[in-house]
Amino acid sequence: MGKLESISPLGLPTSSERLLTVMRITFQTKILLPVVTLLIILMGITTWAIGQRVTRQFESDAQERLATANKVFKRFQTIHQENLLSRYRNLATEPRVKAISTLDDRPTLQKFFADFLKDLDAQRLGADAIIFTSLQSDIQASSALHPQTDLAELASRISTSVKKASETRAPAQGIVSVRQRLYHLVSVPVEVSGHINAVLSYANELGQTVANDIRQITGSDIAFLADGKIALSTLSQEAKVKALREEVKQLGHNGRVDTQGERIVLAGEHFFWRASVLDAGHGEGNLGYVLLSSYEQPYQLLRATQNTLMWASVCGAGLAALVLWVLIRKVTQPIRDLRDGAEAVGRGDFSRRVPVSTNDELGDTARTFNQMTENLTASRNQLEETVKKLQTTRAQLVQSEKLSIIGEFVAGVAHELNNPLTGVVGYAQLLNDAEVDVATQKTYSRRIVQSAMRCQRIVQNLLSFSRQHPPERRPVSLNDVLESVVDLLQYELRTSNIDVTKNFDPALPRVSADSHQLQQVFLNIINNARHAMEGRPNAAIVITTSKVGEKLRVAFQDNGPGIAPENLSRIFDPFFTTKEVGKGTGLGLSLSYGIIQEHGGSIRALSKPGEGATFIIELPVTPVALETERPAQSAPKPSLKSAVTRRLLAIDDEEHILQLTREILEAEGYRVDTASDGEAALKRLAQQRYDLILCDFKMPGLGGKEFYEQMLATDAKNAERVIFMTGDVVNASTDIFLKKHQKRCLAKPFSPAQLKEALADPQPPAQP
Amino acid sequence: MNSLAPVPALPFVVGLCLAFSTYAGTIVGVVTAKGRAEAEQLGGKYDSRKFKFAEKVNYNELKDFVVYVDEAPASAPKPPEKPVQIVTQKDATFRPHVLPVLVGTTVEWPNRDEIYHNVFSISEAKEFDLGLYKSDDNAKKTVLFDKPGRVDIFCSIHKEMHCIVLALETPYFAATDARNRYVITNVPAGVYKLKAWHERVPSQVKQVTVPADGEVRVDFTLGFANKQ
Repeated sequence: MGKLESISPLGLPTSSERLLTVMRITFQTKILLPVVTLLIILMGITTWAIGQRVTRQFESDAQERLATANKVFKRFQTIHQENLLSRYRNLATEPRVKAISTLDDRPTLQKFFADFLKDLDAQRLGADAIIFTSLQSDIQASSALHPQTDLAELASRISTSVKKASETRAPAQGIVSVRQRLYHLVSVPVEVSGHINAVLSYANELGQTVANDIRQITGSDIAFLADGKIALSTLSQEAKVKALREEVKQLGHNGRVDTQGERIVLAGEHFFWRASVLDAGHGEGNLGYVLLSSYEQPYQLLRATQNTLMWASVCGAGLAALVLWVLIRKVTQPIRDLRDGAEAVGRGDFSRRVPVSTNDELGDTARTFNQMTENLTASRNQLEETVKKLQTTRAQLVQSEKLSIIGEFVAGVAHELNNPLTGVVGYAQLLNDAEVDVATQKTYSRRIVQSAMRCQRIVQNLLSFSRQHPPERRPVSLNDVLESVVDLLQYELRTSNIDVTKNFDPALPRVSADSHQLQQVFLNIINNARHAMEGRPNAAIVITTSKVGEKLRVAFQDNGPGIAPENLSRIFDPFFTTKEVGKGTGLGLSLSYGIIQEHGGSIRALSKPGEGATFIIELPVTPVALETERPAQSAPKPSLKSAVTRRLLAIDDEEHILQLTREILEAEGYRVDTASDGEAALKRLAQQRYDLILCDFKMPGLGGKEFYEQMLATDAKNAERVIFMTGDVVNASTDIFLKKHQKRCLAKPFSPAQLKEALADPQPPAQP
Repeated sequence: MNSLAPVPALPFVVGLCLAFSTYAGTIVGVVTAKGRAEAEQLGGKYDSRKFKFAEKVNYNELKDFVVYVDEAPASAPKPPEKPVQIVTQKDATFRPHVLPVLVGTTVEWPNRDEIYHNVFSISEAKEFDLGLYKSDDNAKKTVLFDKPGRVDIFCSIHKEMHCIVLALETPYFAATDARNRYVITNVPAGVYKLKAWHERVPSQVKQVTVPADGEVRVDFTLGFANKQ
């Protein structure tokens, strides 16, 4: 994932990239999210729609039930009233009633109607109260079956129906409310010989029994309201009645109620309700009734169904999501494989192949990708090969360039050698011929040594330069390298009358570099300058080293003819040269350019025609670990005299070397035997055990290499004691052999001190 | 209610008889009624649906029996001179409930309630209607029973009000007291047919020989218990 977080050049993600990072949504999510969302929405809609439909269904059911209940209730009311009427109508025509109505005697009436009421009750024609009213609306007699009936209050509320009955000469009826009790009232006129004598009123309480009957018939709960309060209800729980009471209060003043099927929740149960005015007929009171149809059961069922549906939906969605996820994962597997493959290839891992798991477009893509990777690998290999080839070629070029330069100044070197050699030869002959005193001898021999040492240095310098080195990086002092180059060209510069000014910064830090390569670059530039200034008066080269910022700068300034502007841009091109044919390869500066580039530095030339040219090389200062000086260098000269007499076998084909070695070492207390070749040495070794074996490399017959290998095969222990010496330091195969066997090698020519040091040093010098 | 009615007429009857005969005996006894044995028990046929609405009569508690000599001897005495009997109306009840009288006896019907009552009969032996009246209007409310037979008297207002005047041709009769005992005095010696009557159960006749002096005991058990 982090791979895709791209970083802007400033190191901070740009806003759009940041957005991309934050908004990163996997392919799976992109498919999964909308599908699952859609699924959930679909299921939600389904659940909702079903809920709506069912709700509407049972709402309309409840409404219908309520409407039916209302009709049934009204019908029930009518029938009930008719029943009551037919029940009581004839009772008024009974002779006893007629007879007694004429008497106008209250006790008689009272007694009679009390008995009469009981009689009716016995006959199951029960009225709850009977009130006998004379024509003047005087209450003559009244009787109630139950003591809870408030007769006085009841009697005070029947005037309407009594009046109606006496006026119409027909029974009148209605409903009256008395102290939150409802009574069906039937008033029957008592007619005696064509005159209305009195009115007999029967009151039948609209009680719990009747309400329960209504509930049975209508299937709905019912509550009767009187003066805005609940007189009676079939609700089973007191809590519900209480809740309904509160609802009824909300209905408004005077119990005027009229609602059509509204929802209501009473103590946790869901109802539809409608409240209506109860027609009091010729009764009195603000009456109403409420029909309540419970839909708790379907409601709970709906809730349960919805719950089930919801859970099913959630489970379904979850399952679908899971299946989808697995499916998408399976489908996108090749894509992810491809991505991983691409990433691997991006990292440079060309060995990765994308598995081709499907036989479709993605499979094709994977196959194509694999082929692409293969092609890439092939190209890369080819490229690597080419680069390697190029590198080899360049190394060869470098070497050939070196040799070409050497060829140029080898004559100079030879000449240079002649000078000290003249000293050596001259003084040596003087020592040999003339009889001189000891002091003069010493002077001569010292001069000989000095001249010989100078020869040795010149040869070493030349060899060191011409040698083929593997590229390496070690801390290098630029000043030292420049010194050695100027040294090498000493003769040429001097003979060309060129003045070299070394303007070195003594505090210049070391750089990690290949000193040999740098040597070649510097040599090249100075040589070019020398060529350019050949034959010019007052020719001079100023070499300046300095530290500029984090870079080390080496500047070569000459006062030659300069470089033509048209050539200035081409001097670093390969094979470009202004020298005559056969004088230069045209590769010098080009190679220099490559070497400096490799070191992470830069090389450029500044020039104006006629004003000389300046080559500027800049190298980055790289932190260099402090190189500890080899303590052996400063150690006191080792004395071998203290050691027990040791035996040494010197092997060389050069008699002088053997002589010299013997003379030096016998003075140090060694017993030295000599052998002129490998065979002789082996013979000696068979007779005598030696502490050390000093062996030349190149010998006629059995050479140093072969001798050592034979020893290694026959006497490995003695082979350890072999120290090589050679004058052929340039030979690469010698180098390889020495490195392979980790053997010490003393470079010829050597001084007596160097010989002693090499023998005493248990560790071979890393490099001769 | 019938069974609870006391027998205030009894002393009169006894007194009457004592005044007449010196050569006569006395008949005493107890009248009881008994239903069928199985009817006494719970369950069985009488608790079945068939008899659901049948009035259950507790025979053991029947009162107001009348015992009289069925066939009067030829030498029957005349009706008393001042043979006035009284049936009062109190608490919407006639008292006594059963009144045996000798034919030709006049009965007074005073109303002792504060409410109106009505006294009427539609029986064959005597048809009359005294109208509605209260206690302040009791005068002249008398009826002469001049034919023998059973006369049922009612109140037109209160249907529970009911009494029976049993007009008999013999002066030898008695109504039972609260403990269902009866005493018929001054019965001339001889053999008689003695009849026990009750308004609800069949009458029973027993032969009785009345001694010239002394007492003869005749007990009756009415009802259906001994009827096979």
